[in-house]
Amino acid sequence: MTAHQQTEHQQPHHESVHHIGSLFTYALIFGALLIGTGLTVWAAFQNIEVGGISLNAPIALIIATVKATLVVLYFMHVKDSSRLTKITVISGVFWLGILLTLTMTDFLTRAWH
Amino acid sequence: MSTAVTDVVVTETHVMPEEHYLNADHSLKSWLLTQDHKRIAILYMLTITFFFFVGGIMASLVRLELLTPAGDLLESDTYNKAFTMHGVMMIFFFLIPSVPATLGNFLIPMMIGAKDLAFPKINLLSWYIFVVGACFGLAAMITGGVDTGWTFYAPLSTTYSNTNVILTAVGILIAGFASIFTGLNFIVTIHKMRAPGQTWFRLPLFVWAHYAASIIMVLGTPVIAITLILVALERGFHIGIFDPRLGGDPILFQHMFWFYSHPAVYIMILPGMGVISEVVTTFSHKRIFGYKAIAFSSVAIAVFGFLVWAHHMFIAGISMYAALIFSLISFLVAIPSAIKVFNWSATLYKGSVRWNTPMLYAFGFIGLFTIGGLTGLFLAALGLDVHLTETYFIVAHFHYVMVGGMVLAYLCGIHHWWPKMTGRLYPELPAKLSALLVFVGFNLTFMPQFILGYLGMPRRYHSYPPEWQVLNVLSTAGASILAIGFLLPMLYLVWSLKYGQVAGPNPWESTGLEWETSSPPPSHNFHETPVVTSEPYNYGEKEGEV
Amino acid sequence: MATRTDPEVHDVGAHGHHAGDEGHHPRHLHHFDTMDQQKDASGLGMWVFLIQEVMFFGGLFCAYLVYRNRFFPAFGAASATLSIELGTFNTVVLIGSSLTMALAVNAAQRGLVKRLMGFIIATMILGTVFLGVKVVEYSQKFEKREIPGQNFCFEPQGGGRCAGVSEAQEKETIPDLLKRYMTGGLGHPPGEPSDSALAHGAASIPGETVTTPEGHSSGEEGPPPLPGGSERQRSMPGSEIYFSLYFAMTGMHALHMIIGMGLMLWLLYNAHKGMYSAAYYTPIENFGLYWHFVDIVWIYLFPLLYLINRHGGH
Repeated sequence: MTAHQQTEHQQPHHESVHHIGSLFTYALIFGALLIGTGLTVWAAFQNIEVGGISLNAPIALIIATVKATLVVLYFMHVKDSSRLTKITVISGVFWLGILLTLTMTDFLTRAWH
Repeated sequence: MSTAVTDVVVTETHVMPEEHYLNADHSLKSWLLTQDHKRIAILYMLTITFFFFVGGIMASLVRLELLTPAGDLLESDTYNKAFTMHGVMMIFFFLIPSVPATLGNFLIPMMIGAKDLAFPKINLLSWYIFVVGACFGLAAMITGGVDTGWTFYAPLSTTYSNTNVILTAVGILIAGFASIFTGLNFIVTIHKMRAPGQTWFRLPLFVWAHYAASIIMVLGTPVIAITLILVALERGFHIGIFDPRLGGDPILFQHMFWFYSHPAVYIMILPGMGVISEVVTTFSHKRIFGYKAIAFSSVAIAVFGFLVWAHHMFIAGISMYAALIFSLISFLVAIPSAIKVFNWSATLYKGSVRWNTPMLYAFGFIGLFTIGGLTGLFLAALGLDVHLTETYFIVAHFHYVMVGGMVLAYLCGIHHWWPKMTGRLYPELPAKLSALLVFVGFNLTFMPQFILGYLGMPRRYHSYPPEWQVLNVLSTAGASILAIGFLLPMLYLVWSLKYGQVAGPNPWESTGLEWETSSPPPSHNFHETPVVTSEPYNYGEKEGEV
Repeated sequence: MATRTDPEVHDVGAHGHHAGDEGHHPRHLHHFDTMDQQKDASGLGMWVFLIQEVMFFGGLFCAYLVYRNRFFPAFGAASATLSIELGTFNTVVLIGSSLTMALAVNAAQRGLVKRLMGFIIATMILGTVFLGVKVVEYSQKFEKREIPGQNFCFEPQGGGRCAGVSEAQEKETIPDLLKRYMTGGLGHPPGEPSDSALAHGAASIPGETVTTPEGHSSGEEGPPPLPGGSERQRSMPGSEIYFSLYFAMTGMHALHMIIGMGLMLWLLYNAHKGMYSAAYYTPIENFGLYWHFVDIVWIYLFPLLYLINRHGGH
């Protein structure tokens, strides 16, 4: 979060110079989300394995993340937002990462379980 | 450092400003529906003072019980409820909102040169939410209390306890949203409401500290909210999340609980550190040493604070590899804290130190926080923690940080900005006496507890072997002195509201935008938006040159 | 700090310095210098609120991650009881509502109030459809006793349907079940005697000797018996945790949607009053962010809850 001070100096302009998304972009993103939904259902029924490790869960999560990113960037206009907004979004994801990873350092390395 | 012990003495006679935020409207409605951050700060202050004394009564019960080795004053069940309610009241309904919701609320807009916080209605809403949550907490206490400890460990809280767990959990959950809204308001205000010229590195360190604490409030609090919801659901509807009989893992509860509750320690201490930064520089009449180091150390504490939570769980059965990582990172948190202590000390060097009450509290803070912080390192060490955890050593450690640190910082800040909030000076002599009583009483209460803990006295029992009685009697005696030290300000501060000397806009000859407006400030803080042209703490060049 | 005017510093702070530029908008609050500053602040506030929401759901995802690793077979088996058709349908519905919401914001930006109201209504309709489907799904879980608690029963090996569902129970309606659930009598289907001491796990403290339905007695040391019927004890290990998480996560998601529906009514009312225009549509924009966030949560919930091990691997 310490990078804010640079952010605002370099961008004296205000966010309200607003980018109005085109209807075509929205339709395109909607289509991509529908395809993603179909893809994730289809992938769930395939047994995807590499070297004995099932890749179904990572694939489902990657598709979900791509979909979520599309929503964040286009529906929520983060693509055209200030750096501060982008940093805010990233910090949210980063902190969720802290919670999940550091918790899993315990659950995945327990010798006694 | 100057050799003579001197005070700032206000010799000029000032008159109260004709119009200010306190006399803008006298009706009760104007207070209950106010959107003025200064009035909301006062509402918060009254509310948390009440809960401080509720928690204090519980603490007195605990100390009185421990006066004698036998569990004779309180039954063990009652004792469990007493220390639980002490913890719940003090942590969730006093310490978390203490400095941020009162002083932070009052001062941040003024320090950055704004008319108000970004979202005044949300600010008022947060106070109402807090009051509702606190009422749940009180209701839980009155209708039988809760005995799980403030930590609500599962499965004790979800299955075994027969007390008001759900009611208390809901109260904390609700109050948590008050904290989230306060943090949200601060973050947005500090980003978007600064006066022209008020750049990030011209912000007072008080504001930096609150920014860091707000990050924790916003990112940590929701996790305990959902955790407490799960506890309440599991208890009320017997669903299985943490229940080992269904394969659930109680240690997961501890992870989720401490993910918030460890950083919450920094919600409690960071704003206090902000207060100390302001007071040390004002009463040294000297520019703060290492401004950027202090500013960044606040942010570093907020970030590192999220990486160390499992040091509360070393003996809970977590993986030893995870414990190693958490232990190592825990040591890292000491670095930014030490940076602050060194910088405050360096600020005193060759300053013209004045010994007014806020400075006494600040000295107390620096010493006691250092002890609290250093004993924290004992507990971060894996091997030693096994011996010391769940003993009075840990009780003493966190009271040194929470009371020796935050409560002293709170009192420090209240005295320092009292003239700004009320327009009148507190009386210096009783204030110094109370600062002294608090310091002496505090050390007498908790220093013996370090020894008791080292000797192995476990926490949360109402009886103990007779050989520990001397130390416990000392501790209880100290607690009574401490209680007098806390009660005295109630008397002379209220007295000063009517009879105190009129302070004038800047009794401490301090820098900072909040001192440039009248005391008490007008409803919109400044008659015209200030323009900031120089860095903070510019004591050398106050007159004339920039 | 000095407070004199210095022309060089005007553009450095966050305040815009040209308050008079755009005239006074009726929605301009006094403590902001400009409408731009007000809009920026609201936007940032909404985003900060949303990252708070990320962490709120994050706690649930954390629990999910831990238990999915521990009870993968049970999670797979339990997940298979959910209807993929309904789940996929709902995903499409929610994505569609995100589209209509984005279009509503777009209409607001262009100042087309009629169109804005139309898209909000469309979003509300799609939201209602989603919640309606959710009700159907929940009621199926209730009927199959796949709800966590004393009446829980999940035995995929036993033909997927628990034994001992009496006829009286089959005839029960959802409100009946809920009522029984709330009063703690869920472990005891209609017709059987209800034992309230057993029904409340919290009431059975250690030290008190209580008898489980199987006739074991727990003495001083052991944990109190799991309240509920013998089917609960026999259920697949970890499956009840899956269903607890399923209800907690989708329930919390649905709660957010219900709140969203309420907010949309309020926006609709304000739009009808003519509060929004191309110059002022901040509430619409911020609500849009909220609604998209709720959509994103579902984008993750769908594969995590519905699509575990559908191919039957290991």
